[in-house]
Amino acid sequence: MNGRVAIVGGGHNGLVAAALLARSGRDVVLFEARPELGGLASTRELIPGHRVDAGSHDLGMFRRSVMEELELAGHGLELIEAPAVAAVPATADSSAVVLWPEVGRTVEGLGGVSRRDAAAWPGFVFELAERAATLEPLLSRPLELADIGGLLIAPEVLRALSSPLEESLRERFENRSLLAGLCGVALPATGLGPRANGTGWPLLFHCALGGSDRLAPVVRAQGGAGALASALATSAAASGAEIRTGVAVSRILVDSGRVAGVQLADGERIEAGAVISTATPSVTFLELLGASVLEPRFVRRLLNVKYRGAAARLALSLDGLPAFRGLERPALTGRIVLAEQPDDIERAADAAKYRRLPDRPWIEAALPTTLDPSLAPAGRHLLLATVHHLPFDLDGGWDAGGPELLARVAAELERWAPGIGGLVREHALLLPTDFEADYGATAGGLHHGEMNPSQSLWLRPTASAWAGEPLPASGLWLGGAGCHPGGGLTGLPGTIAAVSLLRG
Amino acid sequence: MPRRAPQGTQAVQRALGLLRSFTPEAPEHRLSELAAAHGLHPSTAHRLLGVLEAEGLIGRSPDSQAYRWMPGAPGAGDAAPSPRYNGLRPLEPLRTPFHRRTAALCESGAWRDWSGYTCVETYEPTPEREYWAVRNAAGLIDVSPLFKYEITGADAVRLLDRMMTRDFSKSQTGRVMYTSWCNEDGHLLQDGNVQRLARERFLVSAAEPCLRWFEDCGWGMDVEVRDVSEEIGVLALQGPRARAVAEAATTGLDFGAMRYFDLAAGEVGSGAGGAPVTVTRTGYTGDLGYEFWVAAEHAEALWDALVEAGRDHGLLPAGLLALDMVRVEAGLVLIDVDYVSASHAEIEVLKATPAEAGLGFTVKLDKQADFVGRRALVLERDRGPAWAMVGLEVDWFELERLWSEIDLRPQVVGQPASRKPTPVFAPGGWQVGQCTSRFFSPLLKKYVGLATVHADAAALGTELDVEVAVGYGRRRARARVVRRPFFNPARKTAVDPMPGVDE
Repeated sequence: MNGRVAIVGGGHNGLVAAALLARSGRDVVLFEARPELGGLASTRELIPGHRVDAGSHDLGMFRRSVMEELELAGHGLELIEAPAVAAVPATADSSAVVLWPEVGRTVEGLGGVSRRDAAAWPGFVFELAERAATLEPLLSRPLELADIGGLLIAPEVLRALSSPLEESLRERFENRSLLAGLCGVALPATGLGPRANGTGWPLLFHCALGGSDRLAPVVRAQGGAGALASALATSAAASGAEIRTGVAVSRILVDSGRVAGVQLADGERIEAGAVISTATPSVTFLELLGASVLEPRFVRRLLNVKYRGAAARLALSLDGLPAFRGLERPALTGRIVLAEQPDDIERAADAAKYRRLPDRPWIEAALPTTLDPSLAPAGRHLLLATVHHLPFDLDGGWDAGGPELLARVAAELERWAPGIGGLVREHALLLPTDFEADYGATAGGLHHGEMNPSQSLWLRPTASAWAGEPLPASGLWLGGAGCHPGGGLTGLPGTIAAVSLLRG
Repeated sequence: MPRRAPQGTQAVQRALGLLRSFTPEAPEHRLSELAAAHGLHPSTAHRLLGVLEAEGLIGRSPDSQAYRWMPGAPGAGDAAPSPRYNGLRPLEPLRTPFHRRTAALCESGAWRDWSGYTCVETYEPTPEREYWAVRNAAGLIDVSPLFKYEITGADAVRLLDRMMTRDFSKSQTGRVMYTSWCNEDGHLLQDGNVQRLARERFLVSAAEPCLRWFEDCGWGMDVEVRDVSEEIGVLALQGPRARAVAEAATTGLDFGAMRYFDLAAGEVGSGAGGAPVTVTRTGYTGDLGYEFWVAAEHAEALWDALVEAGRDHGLLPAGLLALDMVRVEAGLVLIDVDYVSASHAEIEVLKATPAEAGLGFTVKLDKQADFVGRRALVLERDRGPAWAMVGLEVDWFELERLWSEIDLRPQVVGQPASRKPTPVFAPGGWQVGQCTSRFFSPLLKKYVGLATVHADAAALGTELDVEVAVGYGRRRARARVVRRPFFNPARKTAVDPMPGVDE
């Protein structure tokens, strides 16, 4: 048998798998269709002279142990921890709300908007951390059936992950901006509004992987998220892995039920005894493997995967720092949630459900240049505005919808940061259709399959099985966000694929 | 306050009111009852009902004491919601494109649901004459409720080869293939016929719906699957005189050249310009016969042409009871009677592989294409099927003896085929299977049945006991495994079949 491992996709998961396997002495070759590495966590010059993160740019959930094992610091990765976790600018109802990693600092700020919420904050953070700690082991290694027991004896975890997020939060908090801020941290790329059942899960997931005893901080890579991909690639190459960019895989080759290698878009065949695919389950099985080798019930299961959770990314080059109402500079370093209340997010999700644009989009904004001025030319600031809860199958299509969305987002930004329109010098916009076309994100879903409890843990494909059945070809492993534990800049699916493959 | 009708329309309004009283739920009404219910003088009601009857909108019950609902009559019982359903319309039975013709002939009023369609069980009070028509002359059976799927596209063969157990790389345009299809575990989902109408166009007929299964099996293929069930009416013309009738009723078809499982296109009627019709030499009777596939809008023209042509040949419309009798004689298994489709078997043990359901001959394990269920069926071939479908013949003298114990002759003659499964035992021993279809064949003068038994009890000549109901008692009668089909006339497959041959 050929000992080579072919990896499909040079996103951060594929690179993690490549680096870990190469370090263990395996013959590894990785193929990335795009010219740059990083996939949905890549940095591109979408605006001339600017380093724009196309997708994820928060490394807060990335496994520190993997960074250390792969010596990413030695390969050029520099981390910057943002002082603020999340902030909601002032509204007509409430002064600005800022969440800091430090409990005391948050309580102090919350005192100005709601004494009740300020008092409830420490208990909330403590309990969240406790629940997250129950989950963390399930998320960071190959799932064992025995792990179900751990969940079943934690009824609070089960309740939290199955309830509507807004409902659970309201059990503690009253201030609408605070509620909006927490929903804005948890729900990006989920496709689910805060009143949907199961939205407790994304917050737990976020905390389980992002924090320990405090609210998960925002962490950025110096030079943009693409710097993580570069460091991973350098680490992998140093261990002997071959990384090929601009090379698309068109087929995963199977011979009598066993993986035989991959075929590239130009027809070249690469023999390999094992293949790790980091593409979405739909792309991996229906396109790369081909439906004709799949059992009909497996096809049906694939067609039933929900990929909602499409988003658009607007990058703005600004002449100066925008004035978000009531927020001082350190508060602008984390996520800026532009929603007055959870219902703003719910209404956006409602519109998406009916294939419409939200009347007033809610925006997850970031000003990465507040931490890393090198991302933009001197004097400029970069604002990344992510519009979540968009329909992929927009009525009327995205050609017409794109300009309309841009206009609505501009109006919203102006409302939250008066005068921002006058600062804009250049912009770039990535639509849900771009995420599918550029990154193979099926239906524009950034998590390769919606992250809700019905598509998580044992209900998500794992590295080697799905729904208790082995994958349809032996030697095929899944290592992308579409498999356990799921989406986000965690490196875990890639790690678990590598670990599982090495275990054999 | 009811709206006042303009002058002169009162009679129309009253007549419609009367007509609406006749529904499938309340099909019969007496004059006095109707008059009272509608606040009419009995003589007025009588006059109005007389007109409705003369117009064929309602009928008379046989004793002519009451008026009856006429299925298929325009407007009858359709407009008024039944009060039993609290204002909601009950789910209406579907009607085949031949319904107006079959309804007018259905003297017995015996209807049966078949896939949601109202179908004639027997036209006459007993199925006997219809049964004999199929065996001695010709029977005309409306089998339109079959599900029909049109498969078109460059990958049509690929899809069928992937889904079906037969080898579709060998299928030919102008031929019909009988096949099984299985789930991933090799368990039988259905059996049915596949017509190859053109190089890239097929028509699959099946007893149960399977559109989603086509989609699951054909994902990503260049093929379109369309449910055409309601667009096509199907008539089975079966019996020794079928060719003569078919020849007289159609134009442009060479019945002499048409082999068993051939298909051809022609036109309805004796002159040119008739409705297009596809004819397949297939059927569910084990006899010489043809099936006619026609666009729903031309269904009645087809019926009329066949009935007209059949006048000189003793053609009778035949209902489902007669069909069930002849199909048992032909040894043909029926889904959900003789085997349970894996798509709705509640428990694992109810499922069957094609071999276990007597359809092993449809499985081509050596064909080029990998098909759904193949892996499991290869394993089954290596270890041998656990069950077998056999023909049973129950010993007549044994039946006579059992019934004589309660001073009766065997009460089995003249009965339609039974679909109630009954246990089959090793002689004097444990249960080894079940008999799922059985009846006394008037033609063969034998009590025969289809049974699923353990593979080691399936050899020809094996003696088994079948449970039979004798009066209120449950008794065991000795039976023997015999060859299927029980009746297999040469005319069924004869080249250039002529009436008179093999009669």
